Amino acid sequence: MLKHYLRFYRTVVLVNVTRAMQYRLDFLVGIFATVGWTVITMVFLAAIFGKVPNIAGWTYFELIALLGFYRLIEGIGEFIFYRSFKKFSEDIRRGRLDMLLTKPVDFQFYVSIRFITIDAISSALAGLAIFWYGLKHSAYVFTPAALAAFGGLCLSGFLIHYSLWVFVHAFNFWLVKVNNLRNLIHGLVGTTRFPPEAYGRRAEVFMSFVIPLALIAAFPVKTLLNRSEWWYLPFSLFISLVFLILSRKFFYFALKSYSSEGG
Amino acid sequence: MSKYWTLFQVALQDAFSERGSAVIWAFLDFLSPMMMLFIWLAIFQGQAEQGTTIGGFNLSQMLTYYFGVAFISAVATAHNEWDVARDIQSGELSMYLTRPLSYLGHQFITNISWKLLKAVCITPFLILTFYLFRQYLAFDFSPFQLLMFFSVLALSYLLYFFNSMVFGLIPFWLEEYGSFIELNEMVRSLFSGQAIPIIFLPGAFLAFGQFLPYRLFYDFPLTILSGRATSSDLITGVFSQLIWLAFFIVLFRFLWRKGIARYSAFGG
Repeated sequence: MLKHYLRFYRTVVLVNVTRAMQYRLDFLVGIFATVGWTVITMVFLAAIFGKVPNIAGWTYFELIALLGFYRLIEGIGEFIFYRSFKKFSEDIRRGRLDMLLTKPVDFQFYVSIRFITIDAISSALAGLAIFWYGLKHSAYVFTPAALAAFGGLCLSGFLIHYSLWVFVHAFNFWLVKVNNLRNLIHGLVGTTRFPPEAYGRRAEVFMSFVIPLALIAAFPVKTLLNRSEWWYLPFSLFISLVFLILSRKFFYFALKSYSSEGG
Repeated sequence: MSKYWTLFQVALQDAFSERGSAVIWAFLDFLSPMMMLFIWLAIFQGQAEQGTTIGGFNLSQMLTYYFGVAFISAVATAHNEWDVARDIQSGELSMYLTRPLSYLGHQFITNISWKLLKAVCITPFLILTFYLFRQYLAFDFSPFQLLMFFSVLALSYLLYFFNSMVFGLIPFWLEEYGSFIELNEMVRSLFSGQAIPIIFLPGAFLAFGQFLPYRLFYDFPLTILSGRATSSDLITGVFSQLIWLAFFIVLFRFLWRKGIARYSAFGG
């Protein structure tokens, strides 16, 4: 079963890589643009830190590490989901969903991964480099325990990130004409490039417990910066499972109302 | 004229049928500046002494600045390049060419009606922001400041519109247009003052930005609104707006003529 899905995904990747190679110029300019965006934020932070020693208790390099990590996960999310869900919204709008429902793989799986965005690799790699650069200049911890917790938090963060894609796009079944739900995800996840503490106490609680955006980027990064709490990992794993299950249930619940409308 | 009025009514109906997307776009226009409001609040509160300024801004001026950014991005921007590029690449442009209205006029009216809808959608978000930050926002504008702000904003909107129209023409020559449009968006975001007041850019960037039209989109109107513009800033600013506007209009007409000739040759 798993083998079947892995083989399926490999085909998806191959088809997409072949297509992307036909658009080399787009790819190169894309790299330039994504690196540019990161530079903008770094320039901004450098300018601020010329005047203040820290922001909400975070030093310059700690913020750079968070920014890099955000770029990394944003790049991964975009690589896997962006074009797939863009197509999903288009298909719903044009009433072409039936075709997808008849494919011999899980519907939610297929909808989520059927296209990849090659350009996003550049963004992810740039993010990784910046993350590393920020960490190296901060008081980081690389103990086995910290690395294991980091791995677990990355996994749960990714699952929450993915659940967000699914959960938000479930609304597409009702809001058939809405074509920018993916931009909404982009905007929401974009808030994680700054530490949750910087948004004030109320926003921090909201981002930890209501829409758990803090779990996507800040929790894993804090673990390596030796600023995490013991409950981060169990809490994050628990929340990610809850979100994964709820988003799937919600997605299929919404799908039902769409089919019945189509008659 | 009456045909454009009819077009406006149709475009308005079209826009309202996309109100779901409009609410999301308005929310996103508001989200980034809102984030920055919080970040700047944290930055200023981390300062040892109260009442200090950073880059010439005190807390209240900085928060008012980002409130202005949210307002401008909702009502005085244009992103027609994506539509235009799609129309050219898909061939749907032909459909518009046979109509008794100019394509430019069509795009302009579509954008105006979309802006009206966006203005409606962003209002609740702006009210919410105002409520949350009411103790910091300083809204003591003189009538003259407001008058100048809105006049300058009207010009910068036109400039924004023609800038986006020019970039929309890329697919006449180049199939891969997406990244170039994104590149323009990025440069615009950096040099316009949308992401951060341009005074925070490093010296070389700041100097380079003076040669670009982008600072006229956010930085210039907001400098006027905050009362930091001298009368010579005002005159040079409006003058550059007019020069750049003329430049983009001429460029658009030139590229459009060339492009259409090419397009018809291909289309047969």
